[in-house]
Amino acid sequence: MFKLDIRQINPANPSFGGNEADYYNIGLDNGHGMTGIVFGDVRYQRYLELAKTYGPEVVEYVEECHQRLIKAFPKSQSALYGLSFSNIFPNLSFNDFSALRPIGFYLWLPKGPNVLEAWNWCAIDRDAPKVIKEIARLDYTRIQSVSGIAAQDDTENFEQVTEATQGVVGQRLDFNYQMNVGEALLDGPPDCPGRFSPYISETNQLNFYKHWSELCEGPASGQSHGWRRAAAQS
Amino acid sequence: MVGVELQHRVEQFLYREVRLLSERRYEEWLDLFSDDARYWMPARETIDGQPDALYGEGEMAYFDDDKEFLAARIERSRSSLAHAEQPPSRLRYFVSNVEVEELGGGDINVRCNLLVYQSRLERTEVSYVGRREDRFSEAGQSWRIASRKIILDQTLIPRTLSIFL
Repeated sequence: MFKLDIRQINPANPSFGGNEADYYNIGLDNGHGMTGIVFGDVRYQRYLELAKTYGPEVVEYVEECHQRLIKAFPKSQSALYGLSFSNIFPNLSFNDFSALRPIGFYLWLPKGPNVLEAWNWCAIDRDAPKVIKEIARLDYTRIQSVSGIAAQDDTENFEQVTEATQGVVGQRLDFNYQMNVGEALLDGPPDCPGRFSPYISETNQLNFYKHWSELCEGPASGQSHGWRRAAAQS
Repeated sequence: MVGVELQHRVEQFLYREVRLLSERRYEEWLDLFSDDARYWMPARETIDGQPDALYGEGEMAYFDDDKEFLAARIERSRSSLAHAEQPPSRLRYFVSNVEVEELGGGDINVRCNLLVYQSRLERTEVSYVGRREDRFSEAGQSWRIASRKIILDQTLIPRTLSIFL
């Protein structure tokens, strides 16, 4: 029943629909951040196309959810279809979701130096038809669970970054968070809060660590956000 | 109790199967499964008074694949996109405590214990310990794996699963 669409592995990726310029990072106060955010119906159309491969009941549900979204929120907010990979400071993340995909939650629990435990669960619309629930469950199990074809690579990245920082040189150097940070902030849609920056950038990481640093050591003088400082230097 | 010869053939089947896994001969490994096979590893919880509190049908699982998706995993593992196994892990599989139950018509239930050791890069090493509950369907002089249920003893998985169990 579940069909693999390789683009599902990273729906925030522009190959999923639209082009990169349509996607944003959004940095929020208090260290929160969201990424892979797209406005307009690019992703809705993409999911609708996917829904068609499952049959009319699934299409109907996806359309109905979209109508509910439009009714419940002002246009500027309903244009935001699904949220991609986001983090509520400090350690609760969630990943891409839509009418067809469950919301995946990740709770990151530090367990001592260099050890992290992850709790991982997902939520599916209670009122969704049974067929949707099963698609969503298999989607999550096969892509984002502990054996998921996307999730397994992420762990490898974390392990190797940790490993790489253990050496003498690794301990001496600062982390580098400059990817696309020098870009000017972008204008997001009106009525949408947050600071918009290009999708592939490390502005949210700076936003996160800046807030963490402020909680530990107090605010840095005259600078409310690290990524702004980095932008000013470029 | 099953005959010595059947027991021996099943054990040889399992030894070869895990050797294919440890040598990453995944395409040959997949050929051991029937076309309608299910590959299932349910999640579990620690619950007071329930020594084997496994999640059931329709609930969350670590694996819940059909043969088509197993093939997709294997295809992906052969691409340059699968970072979790680049370079490949060193893998060692042990199967033991093999119990065979004849179901008639050549089909059998096979239970075994499983220990898998995974060594990665320089220092990463983890082990997976559990059991399998398989159903084999007769296919000529051998069998196909018609369903596999893997039950890990661990509730906290040591790292993400980039291997088959």
